[in-house]
Amino acid sequence: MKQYVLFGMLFMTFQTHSQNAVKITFMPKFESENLTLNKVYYFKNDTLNISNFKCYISNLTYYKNDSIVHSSIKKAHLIDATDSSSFIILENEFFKFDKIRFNIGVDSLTNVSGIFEGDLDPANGMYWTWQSGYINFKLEGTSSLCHARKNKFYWHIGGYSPSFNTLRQVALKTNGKVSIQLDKLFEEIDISEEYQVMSPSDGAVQIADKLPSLFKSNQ
Amino acid sequence: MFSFVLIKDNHFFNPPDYFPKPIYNFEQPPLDSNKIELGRILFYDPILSKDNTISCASCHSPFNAFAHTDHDLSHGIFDSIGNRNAPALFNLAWQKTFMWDGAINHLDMQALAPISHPSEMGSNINEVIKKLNESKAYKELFLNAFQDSTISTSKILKALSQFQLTLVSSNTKYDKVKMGKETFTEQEKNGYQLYKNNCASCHSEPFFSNYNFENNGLPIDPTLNDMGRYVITENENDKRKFKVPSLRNLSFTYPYMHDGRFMTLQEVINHYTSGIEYSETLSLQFNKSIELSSNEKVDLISFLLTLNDKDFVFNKKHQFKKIADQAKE
Repeated sequence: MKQYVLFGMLFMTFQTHSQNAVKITFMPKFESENLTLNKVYYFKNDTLNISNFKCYISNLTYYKNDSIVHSSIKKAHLIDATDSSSFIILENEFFKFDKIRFNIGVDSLTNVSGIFEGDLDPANGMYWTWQSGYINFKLEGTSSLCHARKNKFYWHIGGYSPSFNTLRQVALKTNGKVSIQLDKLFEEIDISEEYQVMSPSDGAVQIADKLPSLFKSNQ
Repeated sequence: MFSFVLIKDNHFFNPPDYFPKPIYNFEQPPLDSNKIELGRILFYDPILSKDNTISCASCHSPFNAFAHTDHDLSHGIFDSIGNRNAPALFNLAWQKTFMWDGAINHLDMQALAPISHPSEMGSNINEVIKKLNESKAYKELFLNAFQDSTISTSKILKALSQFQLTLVSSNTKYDKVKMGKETFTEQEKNGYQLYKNNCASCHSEPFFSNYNFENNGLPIDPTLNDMGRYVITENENDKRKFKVPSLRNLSFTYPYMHDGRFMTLQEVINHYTSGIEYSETLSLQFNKSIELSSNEKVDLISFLLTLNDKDFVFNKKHQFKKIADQAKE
């Protein structure tokens, strides 16, 4: 009998946790719509599309009344526009929170600590092989305002050294639904000038400065 | 403490007492013979390159202390020529950065660079994983090494690191003198003193390199216009600086300098005595010029030759091993 009760209690605990386990959704968006890759967007005086979007979220911490209630078990999480399951970070437990803090990108210690698996596997295409370091944020596509060959733009934002540090922190009051407003980047960056950033550089640092403002709580 | 004991007792990696503590973290995972052998087979297998023609050993030959002799600039796939001389590979556990400009920050990540470089192996890690996965023999080797036959970036790179960590050069005449097993000749003794007075601040013992970046006064080759460390840091103070190479095994690793511009030791020494070009980032050591008589040059070279490690260069455990040989064993 005792065993049944114990089993029942465990089952209930499991149920509660799996049903109410905290999750955060990072939804890549373009204006009011969810992002669709390779869709043509008419934005201001530009015609553009996004063919690739990936970004790292790391050191995710949850707060309630300004005290830490939970630190995510996952060191770094890769959001990849081709895989909608990657938009969700699931914690294995339930807790109440009203604010989150996280980094866009991979911290410098991880950058110098050798090889990792899973989201940090260099096979994910978010690692520079010719100069060690993770790409924190990657956005590629075409824009009618971009003068490069076939109007292609490449924003590969990375760099962990103090002179070109592109890791950025975000703090958001949220209940768990966050949108990544990619349209905002096209407002902030003059794509006719800055269309090819693919190494740790001043240009990458300037774009990194704009990234936190893309993240909005979506209540 | 535990890891220290582990390293000391490890027969794959047993440096002499006067070598400092390695920088590489040997804990995850510790060296073991299956991983080392897998790394060795991968090192010699051209499967890592796009058209299966170039292996790591194509430019890092064991008989040249894992450097590329005869070529000033190293060449790779489709007969393309790179822009630097392939550096020798040994005593890697004590190095914080890799490549002449320190572009790579960890031994585990190093192999990704030549695998992906269009003029080296011209491939990428996903392609390599796919090809290895198609090989039954490799799946077995990965299973033996990692108790898991899933081939991944991390397993490939860890295996390559493990093999390369065993490339320790510590059995030169210099080392034998250091351990009291042999003695220097009078000429070598003079040369050792000349080395201490003129070379030791950058090529410091026991590795004969401080593994820092220095500008040693080489005039810029206008066909390459290579700014070295500056390419990575974009810091003006790093212009024309390159990672100091070790003097160990120097008879096996010619030609010399990052672009292989000098074929002989004599040319190298003449550069230091009469060829230094002043520039803003020139290493301070050259504020005082190096003056050597012709007899002193001979003495210096006789000491430098005691840094050749024949046991290392001809060590069978480091040599070519084919995947099929492994499968038969």
